[in-house]
Amino acid sequence: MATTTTDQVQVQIERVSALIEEQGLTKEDLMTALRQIMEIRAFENNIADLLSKAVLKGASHLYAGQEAVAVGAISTLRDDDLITSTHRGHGHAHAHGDKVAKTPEAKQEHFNKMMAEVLGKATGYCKGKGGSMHIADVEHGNLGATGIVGGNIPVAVGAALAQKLMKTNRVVLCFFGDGAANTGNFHEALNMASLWDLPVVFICENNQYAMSVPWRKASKLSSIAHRACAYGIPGETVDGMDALAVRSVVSKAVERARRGEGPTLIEAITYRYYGHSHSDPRAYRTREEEAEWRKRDPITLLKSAMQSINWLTEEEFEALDEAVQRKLEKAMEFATNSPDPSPDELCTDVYAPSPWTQADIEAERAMRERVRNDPNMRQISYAQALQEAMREEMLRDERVFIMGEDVGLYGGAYGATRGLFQEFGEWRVIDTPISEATIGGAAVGAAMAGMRPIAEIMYVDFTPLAMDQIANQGAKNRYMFGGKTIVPMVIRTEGGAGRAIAAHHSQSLESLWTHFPGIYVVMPATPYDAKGLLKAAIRDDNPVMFIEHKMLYREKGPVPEEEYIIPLGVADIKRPGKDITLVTYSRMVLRALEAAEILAKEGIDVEVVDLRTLKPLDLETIITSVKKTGRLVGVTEAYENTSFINEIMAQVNDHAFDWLDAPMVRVAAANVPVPRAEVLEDLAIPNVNRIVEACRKVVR
Amino acid sequence: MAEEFFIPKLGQTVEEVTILGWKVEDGQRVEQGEPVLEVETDKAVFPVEANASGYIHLGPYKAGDVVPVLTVVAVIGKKDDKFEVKGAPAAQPEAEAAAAATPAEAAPAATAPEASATGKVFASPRARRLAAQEGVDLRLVTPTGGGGVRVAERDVLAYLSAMPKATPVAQKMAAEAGIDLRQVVGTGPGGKITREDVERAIQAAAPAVPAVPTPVAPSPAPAVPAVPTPVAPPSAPAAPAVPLPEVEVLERIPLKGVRAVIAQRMAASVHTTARVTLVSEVDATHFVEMRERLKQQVAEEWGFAPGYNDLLAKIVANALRKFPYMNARLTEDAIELLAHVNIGIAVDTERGLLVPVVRDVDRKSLRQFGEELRQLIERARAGRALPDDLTGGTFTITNLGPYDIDAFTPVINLPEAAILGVGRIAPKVVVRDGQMVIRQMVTLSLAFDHRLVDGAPAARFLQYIKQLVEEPYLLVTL
Repeated sequence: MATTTTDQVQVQIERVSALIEEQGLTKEDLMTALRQIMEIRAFENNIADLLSKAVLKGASHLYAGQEAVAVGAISTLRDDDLITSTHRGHGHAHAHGDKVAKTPEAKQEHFNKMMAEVLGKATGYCKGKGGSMHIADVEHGNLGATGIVGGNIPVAVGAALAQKLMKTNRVVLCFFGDGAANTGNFHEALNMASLWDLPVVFICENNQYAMSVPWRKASKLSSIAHRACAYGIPGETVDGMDALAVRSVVSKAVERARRGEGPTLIEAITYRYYGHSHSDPRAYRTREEEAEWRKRDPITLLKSAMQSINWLTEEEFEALDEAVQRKLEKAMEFATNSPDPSPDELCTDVYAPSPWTQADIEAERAMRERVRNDPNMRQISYAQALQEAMREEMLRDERVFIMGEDVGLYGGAYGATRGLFQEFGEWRVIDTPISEATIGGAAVGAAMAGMRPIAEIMYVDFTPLAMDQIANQGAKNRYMFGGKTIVPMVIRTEGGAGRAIAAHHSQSLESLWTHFPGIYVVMPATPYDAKGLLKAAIRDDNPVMFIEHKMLYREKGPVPEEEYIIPLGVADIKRPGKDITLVTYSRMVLRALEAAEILAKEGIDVEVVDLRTLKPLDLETIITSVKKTGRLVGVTEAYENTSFINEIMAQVNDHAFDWLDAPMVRVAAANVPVPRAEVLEDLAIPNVNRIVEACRKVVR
Repeated sequence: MAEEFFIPKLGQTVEEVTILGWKVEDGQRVEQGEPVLEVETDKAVFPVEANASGYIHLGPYKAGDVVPVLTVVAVIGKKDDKFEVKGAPAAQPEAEAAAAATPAEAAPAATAPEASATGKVFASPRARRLAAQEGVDLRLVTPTGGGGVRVAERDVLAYLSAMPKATPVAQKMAAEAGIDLRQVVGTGPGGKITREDVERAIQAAAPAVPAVPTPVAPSPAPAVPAVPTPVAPPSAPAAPAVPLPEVEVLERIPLKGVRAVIAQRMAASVHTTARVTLVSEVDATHFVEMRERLKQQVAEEWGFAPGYNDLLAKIVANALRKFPYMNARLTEDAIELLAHVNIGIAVDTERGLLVPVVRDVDRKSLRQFGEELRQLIERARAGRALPDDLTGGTFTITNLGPYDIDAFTPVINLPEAAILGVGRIAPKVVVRDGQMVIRQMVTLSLAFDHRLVDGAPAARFLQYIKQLVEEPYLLVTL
């Protein structure tokens, strides 16, 4: 500051004073902000040091240089507000964690847990399962970081939607970078949030480079904030190196959101000192450029602002710096001395515990018998069974709501939500824009924020559009966050062929979903199963991909009038038999039963096992059956290549090889996109004849 | 020693039967081969014949009871014996008797059976598990799984049920002495082979006399000439009880076993069917050429030379698919068209005519058919035929060509609808386009049951076969 003129000093004093007055800040507030910035810096420098010494493994995207954004923005929040973070998330996690920790001991403990998590230790925030890119503290409102650029923008929208539906006045701060502003999620999420005036503030940290590509090479527009006009919301640009300036802009946006006036897009202009990651040689920028930015270092700026109004002495600063170093040393000591996660932890925290007991399973077994044997039971369609399930659960639990394309007045593309819009209104049966990714991501965010969403994706063929949100965020968050969150959501969708609508509307893509850990996959074949399983799925604390079949909606079957649920993970033997175990699910159950009757006339007695839920899988029923019959035929409407039946065959191989009396056989769809022409469609999809032939083959 | 009378396994898929009724009274004397019980499977009604002669003591089974196969339902023994189950049945006595339900005019197979041994035994994991548990050498088990390439559980079970029960000491002694237990008469409880039985067998074998005692109990392998059995009296003759004139008899051969069944079934067929025989002379020149060339091309690779019977079976299978009314049977109130095309080939064996049945011939390649047929014939000739080897046929082919027979009137193998008799293939002078030429000619004789089929439809069937024999390349169009 040696070259600063008296005039410049005066200007700064006036500016700082105005900001302090405007926001009602105390010296303590500013000391806290300075401390947090310095702590983040110390933390990141330490990580860089560990990385260069190869003590630390894994990717770490360092936040040094951008601290003023996280600290300035998060300091505007109430303790019950929420944030979502990014792959460069240590700053957000610290500013938030330090804020919600109320004593020096709690603050040290928070710092320790962050360090331990980055080092992959059992004592970390996520028990060492998340690491640098997945620090979360959902209990206190940090919905976590994500390794997917732009991955959390829809999640933030969902969390904000939950606040609107729960009528709280909490606000969600959504951090992301300039790179994320070019993802589809950005557009879908900002559109949806603005459409519904959701209480979310989007903070885009423009640190100049999306990995190596500068903003000017990634967008025609010079400013990201200008994009706000596309969504009819305010767009602000702020100096991201200046914590006080950031705080000023964000606090206005937060208050606006809190008042229910909707989101704001804030672009904070900032700079990351280190490369994108440790392996980045920073060839895309000059050392001179880096030196220029460092002149406007967040610590320097805040320190000089505080000194300009005599709120900070050099002694105080040195004491602070020393305290930060001590805190860091303690955190490193804690992390270094912490144990690695126990090998027993490998498979824990993937799924939330099942709410169902053996008594529930027995009750359902008894109910199933009744349904089978009571000729006077009412018959309703599969679509109506689904509608009843949703209606009953919405009446039972006000956290349950429906969102999706055309689920409202239209009643869903296949009529499964018919009448619910009229009964529950537009804020419990929400028509969305055509934005599959954000439908999925908003469901994740709303679920983590306390709601129990049922999101409809019209065709399973469209679920890949939402795959990152549902699989990378929804399915994995519980595990990545060390079991410290639940994501209780149901994605309702439908699949299957039979309407001659070709390869974008006829697929059976369950294998895409069974592949990911952390999400259940349910595929009912009958109205009774559809209702009971959907109710169970809604009450389950895990994400559930609930795949209906488009050719079953009008199929009628017996469904009890009274309340019942079908615990997930219990297969149903739809037809007992002794010669062949035929494992199938969804519509193919009906075809398998037809085939079984034909085979019975030839003296071949087929046991038809309807999985009902692919995950959790009722392996016991399958293995017991195979041990009895010695033969397995698997039938699926999915492409043969890597179909779920292949998994069944592998499981049987693992668990019942010595009981097999013939090679296992599968009947699956041809490995071609589902064709339009009926004659080709019939050739592509397993029909009764092909199932019969396969069964004959295994007894031969 | 009381013999256990049990429900035989009446086919591969039959696991249980319904008892329709006893044909005899409790304590009555019965003769071996006499029908004493009627049972019903999901497919048909079967008489079950006494497996021994003596006084029958019925178990607590009555009409309407559903009983698993191999259940002991009575014992046959002395007058004062009582019904009690001593052990599992040792054998499947019905298999061979039922299998002998064959037409007359036996002919040897066109080609000698050859083992398709590859050295490696293929067996399902389940079969291996059972074999290991029961100490069965899988190389001894005849495979039927996967169309005859893989030992399945049922094959091990069939093998085990064919093995006589023996005490551990008897087993050990037999193994040391190289005695095949299947050739030993069991006199222990339930026909179990005891140490004494094996000792007797060793003594019998010692003086290099070829005779080893034939089992009393039904055995699947009575391949060795019989010595008088300790229990069984002469079987009830199937011949009519008309007084015969006094003549000098050179040798008296008891009518029993396969011969007895043949006698009874042939008579039943001739007495109940409305048999008509159609005869057609067929130009087999191309057929013979094709067979010769096939032989040259594939014999080495296949391990056998496809014969006329193989080719004819494929032709007939196609014809049966095209004319389903020929692949049929008559029940009391219906004609049943049958789902599978299972073709029996009449085979001459030491014990008489046997008809091994190859299943689903229409779905099998020529090679697969040929391999299976040869395995079946080998087993039949060795007396090791499995129950299903000789049952379940829907049509029979009988070939007397090798004996220079031109045409004949075969007897229909009930409950089938027809039988094809194949005559000698020989060069003959025939007229073609007004010229005398020499062609290879064969006469086909189709005997069919007019109760099910009329003359013209049967003639169309034969005509179709004739066309395929004359122009065999048409096979590739089917």
